[in-house]
Amino acid sequence: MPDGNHYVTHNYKLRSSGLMPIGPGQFLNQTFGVDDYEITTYEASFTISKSDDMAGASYNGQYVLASWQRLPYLTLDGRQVFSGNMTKKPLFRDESLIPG
Amino acid sequence: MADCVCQVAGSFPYLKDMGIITAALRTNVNVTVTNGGLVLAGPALGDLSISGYAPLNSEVITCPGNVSVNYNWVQLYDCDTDGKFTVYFVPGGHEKAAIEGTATEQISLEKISCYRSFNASAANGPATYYLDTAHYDGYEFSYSGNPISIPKDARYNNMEISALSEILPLGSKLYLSNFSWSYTPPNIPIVNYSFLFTYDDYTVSATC
Repeated sequence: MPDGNHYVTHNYKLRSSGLMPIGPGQFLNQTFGVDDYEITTYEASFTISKSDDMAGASYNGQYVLASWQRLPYLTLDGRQVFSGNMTKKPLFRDESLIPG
Repeated sequence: MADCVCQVAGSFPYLKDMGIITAALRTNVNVTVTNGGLVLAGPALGDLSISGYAPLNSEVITCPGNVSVNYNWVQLYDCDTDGKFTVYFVPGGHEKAAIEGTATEQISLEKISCYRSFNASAANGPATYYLDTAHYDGYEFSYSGNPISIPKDARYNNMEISALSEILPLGSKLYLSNFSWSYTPPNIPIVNYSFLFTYDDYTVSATC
């Protein structure tokens, strides 16, 4: 797994129906929970994710998306570093989790 | 060495006897620290600008002239080799060179187009002179004069200038980015050089 300093953020995708008109200028938006995507961002990692980390490549894979780029820097002892982010399989949660 | 040393420009030790008017050197190792406290070092680059006198040999030139050349370089990074950060300068096509007015015989150019150029202004009185000159665009530029000659292959090769080896960081590769030559009779022609350089033989250190 990647290493180094990292941050975890969440991206909530609301499951909802299409807008349903219920009166002149009025619509109803019915929601059915959220998909909670946990995204881990690495600022400088010595390793990147492997194929087995991905849900499509391994039964135990926990991630659905990963994006990496090598940084145009080396550490003082000459090691390469990468920055990137990995998105976990979404968890279905109650929409009351959504802030705001 | 102290953090600064005050010296007299006229006795600038490295470029003396070359007719140098100004010389400016900037070097930089791009260092950044992540929020996690990891110190990272990027490419080591620098630029060097020199202006100097370029006396004519036995030529007599009665018209003023200006010559300018721009070299294009694409910088590519390699951090795969031996734990070092190497910057490659890849030629970005032919140089763009132009002669306006009369140039010295020390300058060679494959001319491809010519058109008139002038700048006439009567703002300071109707008797003010203006020059109607020919402007040539071209390529395959070279300069054989002083203080630093420029070969035709400067557009795709780094230049090795022994006089500059003392002021550049060890292992520097020097690439010409701009050159100009200007002459206003009866003065001595003046040349300007702008170089880019890279060096990979460095150690990040807080002391000079």
